[in-house]
Amino acid sequence: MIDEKYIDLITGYLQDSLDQDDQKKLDGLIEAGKINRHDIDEMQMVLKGIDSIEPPKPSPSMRDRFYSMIEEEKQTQSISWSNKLNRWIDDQKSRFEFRYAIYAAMIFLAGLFFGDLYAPLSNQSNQIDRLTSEVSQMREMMMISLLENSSAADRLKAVNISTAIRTEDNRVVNALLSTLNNDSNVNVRIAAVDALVAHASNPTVRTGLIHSITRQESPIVQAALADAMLALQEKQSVDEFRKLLERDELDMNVRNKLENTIAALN
Amino acid sequence: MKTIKHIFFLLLSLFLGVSTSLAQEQVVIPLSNPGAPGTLELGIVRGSISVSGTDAEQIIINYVSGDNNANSRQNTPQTKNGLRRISDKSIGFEVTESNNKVEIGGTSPMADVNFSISVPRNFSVFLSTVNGGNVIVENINGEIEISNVNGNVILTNVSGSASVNTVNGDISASFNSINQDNPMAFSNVHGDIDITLPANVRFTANMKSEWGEIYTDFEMDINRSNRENIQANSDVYKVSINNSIIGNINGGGPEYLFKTLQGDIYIRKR
Amino acid sequence: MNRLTKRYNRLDSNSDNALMMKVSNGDLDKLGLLFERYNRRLFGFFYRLTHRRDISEDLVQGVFERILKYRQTYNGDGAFSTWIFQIARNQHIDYYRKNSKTDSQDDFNEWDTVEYDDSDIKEKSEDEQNRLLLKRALEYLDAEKKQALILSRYEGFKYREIAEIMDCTENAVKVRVFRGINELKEIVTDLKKKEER
Repeated sequence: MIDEKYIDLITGYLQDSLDQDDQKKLDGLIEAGKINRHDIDEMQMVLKGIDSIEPPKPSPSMRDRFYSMIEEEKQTQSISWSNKLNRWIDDQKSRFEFRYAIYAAMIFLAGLFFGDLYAPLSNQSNQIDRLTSEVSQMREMMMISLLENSSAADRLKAVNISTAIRTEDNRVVNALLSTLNNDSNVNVRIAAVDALVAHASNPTVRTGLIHSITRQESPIVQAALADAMLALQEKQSVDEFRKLLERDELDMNVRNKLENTIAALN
Repeated sequence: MKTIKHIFFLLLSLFLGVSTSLAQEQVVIPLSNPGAPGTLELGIVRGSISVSGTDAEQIIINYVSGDNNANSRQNTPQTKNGLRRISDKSIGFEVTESNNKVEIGGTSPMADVNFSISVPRNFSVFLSTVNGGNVIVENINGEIEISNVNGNVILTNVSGSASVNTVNGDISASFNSINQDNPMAFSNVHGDIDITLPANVRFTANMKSEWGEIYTDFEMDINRSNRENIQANSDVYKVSINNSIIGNINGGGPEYLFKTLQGDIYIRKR
Repeated sequence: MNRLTKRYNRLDSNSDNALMMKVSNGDLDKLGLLFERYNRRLFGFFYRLTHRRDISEDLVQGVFERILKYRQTYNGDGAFSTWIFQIARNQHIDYYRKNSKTDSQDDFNEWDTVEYDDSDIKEKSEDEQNRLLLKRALEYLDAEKKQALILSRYEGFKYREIAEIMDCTENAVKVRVFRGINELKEIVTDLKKKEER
């Protein structure tokens, strides 16, 4: 039997993964009589023997069992939707930043004090809704004012805040799209792509992202848009990417990535 | 508050005809509020930029033509067919200073200039170049915003925050201390991103390398659920946003974006 | 420094990883695609380990039950193929443990009769004889060596990937493969002697 100190060489040889140096080393050892060629051949014979054992086909019932399991699981999945909703609400609560909560609470209390004294205090869910929307409004204001700053750090901050804003109106989304198309800083534009994906439930986002594709000159922003379109499975972006591919000056890596993206979307 | 405005317009070709074209020139700009923080803004198309913080209370701009053809310009005739040449492709720029805000502008896109500038330490810098050189910043404390296209960006011994992007070039940055409020971003296409940060900095890293690897020696709490609910028409599905890796360091904080296509990403603990 | 990324094709939305990601997010139909891609490989893996068709089918089902149950813990790191074989290996170990406690003896007998009703080995061609001897010899090999051999041979995994699946060092895998082959060789020689007697 071959000495175990040659395990690396032998196992490498058996899996056909020796490099030239190791192959030479092995040849040398065989030459020198340290390793018996016959032993290696025997090991290979054993492996070939194992290879020739063919397993039978599984019975069709294996597939049937699998698919009935999937069907059952789907049934239970729909029941647990309410659980999921609860978990989602918990998530949102933990995302809630404490200091915004304090600002919002102050505004809320002030509102109660000066104005809405007749509001039905008993309705707790109403209060939470209002609190949430006040925080969103505040973030929105903060975001839009920060976006106008000349410092890229502030604009990055604005874009990052925007992902936490839950709002139905288009102001946030429009501000982000305008940032994506006009901001002078590449990093801010990249962050805007990510932030827009977070608002993808808004249809304006999808069309805005698609229209932005051919407006971007920066390779890294082009790549980020490709990622976004893939994440959203947005097939309508394919034509725009094709237009980019027609540009001679397109970065080779981006070209490569876009071709992959188009293939994956089709 | 008093405002001093300096304007320099340097038509060097007039001199260069006699002196050597590769000689280093110097301009000194005094500040309106010596000792107070300030900003430096410089955007060029060709050439390199190097900014270094010093204890001086003024700005010293050294510049040299990096144009190899500068010498040949001496050989172009001053007069041709009886006409005098008045066009000028050599270095010309304008410096304005107002309330410690220094702007260098007006360089010709055809001119190739290498700037080497010393500023007081508590200066923020906004620098950009396209071709022909690296951008190097050292020993300053402020906000740093740099964009390059064909060249590296190297920040050493800096404090504050940074946003850096380049296309073909490495990004390396080593921070002494961090402005904990600000997000940061580093992106490129070809080239590594190598960032060294103080061990106690709190941030949330958003990292993606398309074809490279990501390395860190920070304890990183990787967030596996960086997915958002996306609602399309009527069917609800979730996506992983760009397959980025999101990780909290020291509990998380402002977002630091690291994005490259071809390079590796290194996030090192100081 | 620690490496955070593992290379795999993230772009292909129909890659195993992408499909599993969708399963993980509740799109259970995508598991069907993965089942179609992997059921034969898994079945082959189990069959070579157990030589029992019914048990192998149960184990395949078990693998997908586990995937379904723990789908939300899937994080998309690393190759899907090594991940699913990790589960498969654990499934086999569990089965093996349960079995060795209760009815391993029964199983052995059953195995002999069910799969080897053609036990008159001498009448077969030499090739066939060798194959049957090997098949029987494999049964004497301990589970870890057997797993390592089968993964490297049938499933085409690299030693590094096997190490990941078996949760051990690459070196340990090589030792298992090396010793496994040599032990098999000896067992076959022994069995041959017995047959000739």
